[in-house]
Formats: sequence, structure tokens, C-alpha cells
Amino acid sequence: MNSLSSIPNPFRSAIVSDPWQWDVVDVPEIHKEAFDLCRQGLDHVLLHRQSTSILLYGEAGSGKTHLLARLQAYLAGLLTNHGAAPPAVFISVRLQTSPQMIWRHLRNRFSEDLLRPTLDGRPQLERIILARFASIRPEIGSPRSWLERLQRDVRSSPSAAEEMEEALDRLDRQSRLNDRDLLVVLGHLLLGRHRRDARAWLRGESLPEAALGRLGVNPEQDEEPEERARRLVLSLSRLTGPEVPIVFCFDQVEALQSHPQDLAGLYKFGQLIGFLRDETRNSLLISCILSQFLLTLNQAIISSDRDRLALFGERSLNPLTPGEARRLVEARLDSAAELRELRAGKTNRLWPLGDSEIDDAGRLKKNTPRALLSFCAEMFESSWRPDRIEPAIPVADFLSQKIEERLEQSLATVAPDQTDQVATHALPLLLRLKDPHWELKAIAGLSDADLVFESQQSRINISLCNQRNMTSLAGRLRRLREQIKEEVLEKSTSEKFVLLRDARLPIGAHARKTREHREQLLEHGFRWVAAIPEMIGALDALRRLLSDARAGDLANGGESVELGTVQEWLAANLETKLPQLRDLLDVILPEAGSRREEEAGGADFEICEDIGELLQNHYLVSVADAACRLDRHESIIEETARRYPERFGLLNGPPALLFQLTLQNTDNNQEVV
Amino acid sequence: MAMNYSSAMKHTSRDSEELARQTILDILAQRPHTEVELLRILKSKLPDFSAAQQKELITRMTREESIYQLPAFLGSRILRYSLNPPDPKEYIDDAIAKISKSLRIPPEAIMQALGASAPTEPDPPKNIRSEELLARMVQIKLAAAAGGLVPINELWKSLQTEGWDKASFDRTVLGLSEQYRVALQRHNFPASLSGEDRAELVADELGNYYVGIALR
Repeated sequence: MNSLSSIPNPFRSAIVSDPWQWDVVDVPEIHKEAFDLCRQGLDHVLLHRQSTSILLYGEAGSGKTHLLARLQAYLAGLLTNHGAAPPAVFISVRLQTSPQMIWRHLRNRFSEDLLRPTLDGRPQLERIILARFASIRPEIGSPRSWLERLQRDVRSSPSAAEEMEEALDRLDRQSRLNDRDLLVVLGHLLLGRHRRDARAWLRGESLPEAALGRLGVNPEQDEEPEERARRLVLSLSRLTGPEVPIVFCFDQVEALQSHPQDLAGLYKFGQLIGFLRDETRNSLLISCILSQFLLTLNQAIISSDRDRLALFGERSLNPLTPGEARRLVEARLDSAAELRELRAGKTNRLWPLGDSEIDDAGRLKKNTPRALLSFCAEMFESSWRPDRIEPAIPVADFLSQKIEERLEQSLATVAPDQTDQVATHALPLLLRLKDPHWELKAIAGLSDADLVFESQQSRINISLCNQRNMTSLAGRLRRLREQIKEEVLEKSTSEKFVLLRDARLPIGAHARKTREHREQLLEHGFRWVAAIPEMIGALDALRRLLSDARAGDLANGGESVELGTVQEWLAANLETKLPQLRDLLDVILPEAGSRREEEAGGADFEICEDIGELLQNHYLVSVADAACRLDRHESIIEETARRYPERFGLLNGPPALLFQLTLQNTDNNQEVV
Repeated sequence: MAMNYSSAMKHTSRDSEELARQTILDILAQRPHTEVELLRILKSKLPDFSAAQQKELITRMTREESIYQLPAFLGSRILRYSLNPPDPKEYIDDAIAKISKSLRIPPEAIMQALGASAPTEPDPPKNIRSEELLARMVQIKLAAAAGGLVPINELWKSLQTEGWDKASFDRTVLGLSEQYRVALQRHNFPASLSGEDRAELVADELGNYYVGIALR
């Protein structure tokens, strides 16, 4: 038989941090009114064929994300106690983004969740489209069998692709998607062709010319990327049809602010909600914020958008009543398999805790689910195994642990396609840590700059050059060159022009125009930053930590860690914990310069890019082979690899081997000149 | 003069006890703590001071009355430690709140039954204040009737113009919360607010600042 001294503490962990996570204990009575409001909102959308919106707020740890997870599980058919859910698409959008990329972020999240597998292993997107085909082409019979037949036949018979095209054309006529490229990509996804590229296109990632050619879509157009993303979101919304509402859940709205006076992101968010409300007919827009953030939000967005934010209603996620607290504790205890035997036959349903502990939690205002569970975890230890009471983790140690965890996670997950998103969100935060005078400004002058920062007498212009498509990149560099005309920026100490590209995206030797334009910009005083994965990972870890703190989601032992504390700690520990960001600051700040920057921007650039491209295609190459392929001396190749250990792996021989540090897509980056 | 080993040890252990004493006093200066809370913090602040030593020191300091052990509240088993002796008012308030909850009658009625002294100011009866406040919430924000949050500072500003004083506003808000007629929402980082902003919020005895109020 288990004894209390050996079983895991049933109150530790299990805080819901992702609405897609549903392996947690749920007490349906908690926040039932808010949940019912969401369900009624959904009914309203279905009944009136009109989009609507709901605003939810609560303290840190009140269970906002848990509520969204409950809604997700309900729509997925996992909660039978609420009856059958209407068919709907669930989209979760954590707003860890910058104002200038808000639509691209939404497109990315929308596509990502549409492509997410459902219970039967098939993506939401496929389920939706097949349901539409069944209604507009009843003659196909079972849409699943029909699709399986086309998928089988497509390699041998061109008629399968034609049949799919015809079905999509009908869907287009009925839904007015008005987007040829989207239809082409949907066709590929359904038929299982070019899946990786098709998914990347849908998410809004930059694709090389060759991949776009394979897909049969237009090369990246001149259309402004935010506008393109907005148009695609609208088309995808129409795709589901009026019978299938889309539930957009916006969480961590607070993360749109880079500092308390920064209202630009919130203003844009208000516009986004207003636009979706007015321009779609099947969206339920649910926004979650901290209660204390309500006044800031009211200030930041115009009143008509504020009205649209809570058109169907708003609801506070209230602190737990004593009854709710008891039910939550009981549910937690019941869910612990190891406790079942020990609890059997006990009249006190809260055993091994008691009523008095719950009363104490209430009196001490430990009345959010997070605070209550943390309190009960301590009570459980102190009552039954005081020797196992864990010491409180000092905030500095906690933050140190968290940044290391996030850094590891970011390094493993952030792909070059996310570099723009990471950089635009994190750079304003990083510069504010360095000096709170740095302000993100509206783009003026260089229209191809993505970020412009000003601080007293200084200015930084950053252009993100992470296009995989060399024609697009060459176009951007050419436009920048035209914009600066003959102005010489070289000696400027108060203004800096930075071209930032993820080092995992080499510019191959055949991209001659791109290299030429880049060279000319460097001659005009632009600085080239080849951002290594560790740098991008550190930026991502920084923004995630700060976003979680801003939204009250960073808790140490049940207590939210204050944003100011996190900022102070990061500012004091940047050198030791995130040295890559100190290197980045060295390069982008106007008064600073660095040896590495000069090297990477100068003589080493071409050989680094050449080696990078070679490894992207071959992963592992002997130095001798590389020297032969790149027409360079072996010693030069080896020295370069040694000089840039953060970019290239080198195994001492003989024979000496070069290898790629992270595995990448092997697309051929061709430019069309 | 060189110190011998045993006096050096005594010196060291006296220093570490002094440090532990001061740490306990610093922790309790913030607010009373339960024994578990206290031991948990001490464990992280004084890793070399064993749990047995910590408990022994707490007992000694209690005996010396440099700190106080506060008895458990009615129906509770949890003892707390404080720099100050027990405050009877805290216990009476807690007991009244619990009786009020269990009998489902307002605390004012219990106070009356106890024959408590009449308020010093000629305030209107508390239930009239409460009803006025609840009605004002819906006037300020229609959505409050359906569970929407009303910012506390807006509610206070609105009632201030009607002649309310802050102390009775705070009492009424906290009283309604005790009766579960309203739910209060805390500011999670009150230290980030200016003194002026904090003054417009409602604070409780635990140092929480409430920014919003919603009908239950």
C-alpha cells in the first residue's frame, strides 16, 4: 500500500499554459458563467450568421488559459457533460508579437492550428474542406473515400488533380475566396503533394523561387506583407463557410506592449478585432486579459473598437468561492491514482487536508486556482511530510532557471522562418533593457526598414533580410540602395543602418545580384549582421520571459513575478546569461562597433555564405571536398570554420570534416534576375 | 590574541544565530507568517541552519517574546508567528465573518446582536451604503449587471462626488466581498503603481490592492 510519504504531491504542477493541452483536472462549476457565455456566443454566430466578440479578464492565475483549454476540449468533443458541441474551428493566438506583424502573426497561428491534427489524426483544415465538398458536390458520396481515391490516383493519373481543381473551383465560386494561390496550395495539401512547402506557404513563410515554382504559385508579390496576411486570413475565414464558426482566442494581449507607454500594439489589436468583427460573418473573437490591464486597454483602443471587443459580453473570472475551492481541491485529490486507496472510506472528502486549510486559504486570499493549489501543495507537505518541504526558490535563481529553460527550448524550436517575428518583437524589449530612452518609431525615410529606434541623439534603422527567395531579397536590397541614393553613412556615429539576416540562410554564390546590392550597401555604411541561431534563440527566450511576466503567467511558487523584477534581473544579468545579446547590442548600437561584425560583413562574408550553402545541401562534407567544390584552398576553409564555431561544425581529421550545426531545409535558393 | 578552536566555533555559531534571528525578524516585519511559510523561507535564506535548529530558535524567540505565536483562528489549526501580540480585533472580525457566512446574515446584524457600540459618525446604515454602491456599479457600466468588471477607481470617483469618504467606501467594498455579493480583482503588481494610483484603490489587511469589482 502507498503511504503519504512516498506519493507525488497531487497539487504540484498542472497549470495550463496552452489551450491545446487538455490532460488536466477540470471542475466545470468554476468559471461556468464565462464558459457558458462563450458557448452562447458560438450559438449567436451560428444563428445570426454574424461575428461577435467576448472579453474575459481575471487576475494572474485565475484560469484564463484553462478556460480556453476547456472550450477547445468541448469543441473537440472531449467534454460530454456539456452535450454535443457544434462544429467549429478553434484557433489559439498568444499575442507575443509586434504591432507591425500582427496580421502575419494571426495568419501564422490560424494556419498552424488549421493544420493541427484532430482526434482522428487528420488536420482541422481537411475536415472543414471535406464537409464543404460534401455539401456542394453531393455526387462524390463519402468525401473521405473520394479524397483517398484522388490521393491514390494523383501520381498516375492527371485527372485526379483536375477533379480536385474542379471541386476547389466550385468551393471558390460559393465562398468567394478570391485567392488563386490559396486554392492551388489547398489542392496540394489535400492531395498530399509538396506538403512541406504548401504548409510553409500557408503559414506565410518566405519560400525560395524553386519551391514557389513547384507549388505553382506566384513568386512573392509586391503586395505589402501585412495586407497580404490580412487578405489571406479573410479568405481562410470564408473557407469554413457560415455553418462552421471560427473561434479565435487571443491570449496574452499584454505582450503587445513593450513598455507601459507603448499603446501602438494595443491600438492595432483593437483595429484587428474591429476588422474581423465587421469583415467576417462566422467568427467568435474571445480576448483574455489581466483585470489590471483593462484601463490600459480602454485607453489604447478607439471606443468603437473597444465596443467591438466585447460586443457579445464581458465576464470577470472571479476568485474562487469556498465551495469552488473545496471542489477544486477534492477533484485534485480524486485525480491522484496513488491516493485512491488511502482516501477510500474516509468521511472527510478533503483528506489528507481538512476544511480548516481551505478556510485558511480563503482568509489569506489564496483564492485563485493557481494560488490555492500552491497553498495546498505546501499544506500537504507540512502536514504529512515536513521533511520534504522545499525551500522557497529565490527570485534570482528562479529567473536564472527559467531563462535557461526557455533558451534551450528556443534553440530547439525557432526556425529561420520565425526570425522576423522574433526580431521585431524582441529588439524593442532588448533596447529598452539597455536604455529606457530607446523608442520604436514609425518608419520614415527608408521604407524598407522594418524597425526604426530613436533615443535622444541616436537612431537605428534595421532592415530584416530573412527572405529565402533571393529575388525578393535582391529587390529589397536594391530598393534600399535607391532610397539612400548617394548619401554616405559610413562615418555616422549617431545613426546606424543595419541589415540583419539569420546566419542559417546563406546567400549562395549564384545569387550574384543579391551579393552585389549588399556590397554596395556596405560601401554606403550599412552594417551586416549574420545572426547566429544562439542569438535568435536568446532573443526569443528574452521576449517569451518578458511576455509571460507582463501577462502574469510567470509564477514562482504560486506567486506572479513582477515584470519590473524580471526587467531589472535581465538588465543586470544580460552579460552572463544571454551573452549573445550583448554581442548583438555591440553591433547594432550606433556608438558601438565590433571586430566580428567587420569580419562577417567584410572579407569572410562570401566564404561563410559559400560554406553555409554547401552544408545546407550536404550536411557533412570533408574539408578537402569543400575546398574542391568552392575552389578555395583547404587551409582557408578550415581556418574559416575554426573562426566561426557558432556557424560551422568542424571535426579534426584526418580527414577533417565540416558539418552543419542544425538541420535545415534543403531548398535551392535561386534568384531570378 | 589567537582564538582557540572551541571559542572560534562558539563565535561562529553565535554569529549564525544572530543572522538567523535577524532574518526571522525581517521576515515577520513584512507580515505574520505561518510556521510552514517561515521555515520554507528560512530554508532558502539559511541553508546551513538545520530545520531542527530553526524550530528550536523560533521556540526560544517565542519564549523570549521577541516574536509571538498567534493562536489559530476559529475553526482553523494553523498557528502564525508575528512581531506583535495577537490583535483581538482581527480574531473578532474573523469570527464575525465566519458566523455571518455560516448563518447567511450580514456581519452588521451580528454586530447589532452583540450590542456593539454604534458608529462614531452618523453614517447611513451599512446596508443602505451597500445597495447604493451596487446600484452605482451598474450605472457606471451596464455590463456589470452581467458580471462585467467595474474599475474600483471609477467607482470611487463616482461615489466621492456623492459625499462618500474613502474609509467607508473601502469598508463597504470589503464587506460586500466578505458576503460574496461581489468579487474583487487584485492588482498583481501593486508596487509598480504610484502612491496616487494606489490611493484610489481598495486595500485589505494583507496588503492586496483591488482594481476591479464585479457582481457575483
